[in-house]
Amino acid sequence: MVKSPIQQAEEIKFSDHTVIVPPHRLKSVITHTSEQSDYAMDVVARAEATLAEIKHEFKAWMITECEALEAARNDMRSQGPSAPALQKVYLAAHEIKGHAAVLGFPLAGRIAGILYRLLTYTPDPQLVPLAVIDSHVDAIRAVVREQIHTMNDKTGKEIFERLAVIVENFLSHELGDAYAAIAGDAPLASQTSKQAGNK
Amino acid sequence: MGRGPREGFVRGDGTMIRIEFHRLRFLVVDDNMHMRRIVRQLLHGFGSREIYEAEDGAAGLEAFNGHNPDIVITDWAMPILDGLELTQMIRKPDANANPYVPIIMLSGHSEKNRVMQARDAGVTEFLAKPIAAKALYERILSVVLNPRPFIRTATFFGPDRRRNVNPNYSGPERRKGKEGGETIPVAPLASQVLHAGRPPKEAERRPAASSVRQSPRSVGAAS
Repeated sequence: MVKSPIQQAEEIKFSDHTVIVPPHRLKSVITHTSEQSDYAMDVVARAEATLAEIKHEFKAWMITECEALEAARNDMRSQGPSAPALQKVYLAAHEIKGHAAVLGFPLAGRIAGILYRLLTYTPDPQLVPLAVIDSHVDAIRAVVREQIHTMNDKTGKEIFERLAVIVENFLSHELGDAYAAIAGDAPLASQTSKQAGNK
Repeated sequence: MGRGPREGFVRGDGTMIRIEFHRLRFLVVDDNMHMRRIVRQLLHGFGSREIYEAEDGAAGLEAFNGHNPDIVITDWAMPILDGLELTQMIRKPDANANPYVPIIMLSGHSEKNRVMQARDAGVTEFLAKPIAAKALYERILSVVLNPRPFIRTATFFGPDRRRNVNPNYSGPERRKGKEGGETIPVAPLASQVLHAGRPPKEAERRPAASSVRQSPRSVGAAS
């Protein structure tokens, strides 16, 4: 009968903890070969190529993600900025922050990242001006509509930087001294911290 | 000389180490179908064929128990049971067939406190979104080549949270069981090996439990 990983693990007990060395189950998938295959495609490049096979679907996916964010924003507008409504906006922004760059819209991802940061760190999300949330949602929509696929688009970059400054100023105002703890992680940290510090 | 994040890397004796991805069984848990598809494509590109998917933590736990995957890749923010809770459920000693399964958390939550939370829940590797083929490959390589020992205390069960050794450390040694006792050496990360562009030295490899030896003092919180 084959032993389970738990049965196979070796334990070393100490006074306040136990060190467990589980069996190296995946050892069997490691192979040693003397083959030096120059023609073998780099495995990472091969994975990127496999991903590129479905690239034609990315724009539609990005639009779906934008629609989810817009729907969350519209719900918040119609129902008021309740905690559940804000949570939906937060989660939709979080999704775009994580996915947009892979889908070919890095700037949209960065803008969503600012909105995510705003809703993560503000002490009371219900005090966030709805116009600020609107600006982010509309900017993300515009980036996707205009098919801005780089971080270097002049107008897109300006919008991103402006939103970053607005959010950092807001967080600085709301958090007071506690803002210092998150200032270093701000997008455009060197610029925004200077402006926030001058307030 | 190592070759970077390729299919394998060349060892000192001229042989190359490769991962047979087609023999690895993955479970991908993410509530976003687009992200599941992206991860699946990347795993296919690496050569994997057996990939199971679940759209939330609860379905993920069921799939984990049903398919016994070799590696779990999970999102954090999910309905019903999130990735953190899923990890804690899997890591419950004696509750599952394999509480030691490597868990790679793939999340848009990239703040330091979030990474620490994931680590403290028992996550093996953390990968911040947006995902990249190279970063995913390195995490998989790390968990396959260098599995870390597990630590069980009154409040924690998971992979050893210490990754580095600091020979200049002079503080208290919390991991020691007794005065002058033994500590478990920390395994080098596969990614560190790859980035260094060289094969691991024999002395750097994690020894078996039977060969536990005195190690340099460690950095980081004791588990």
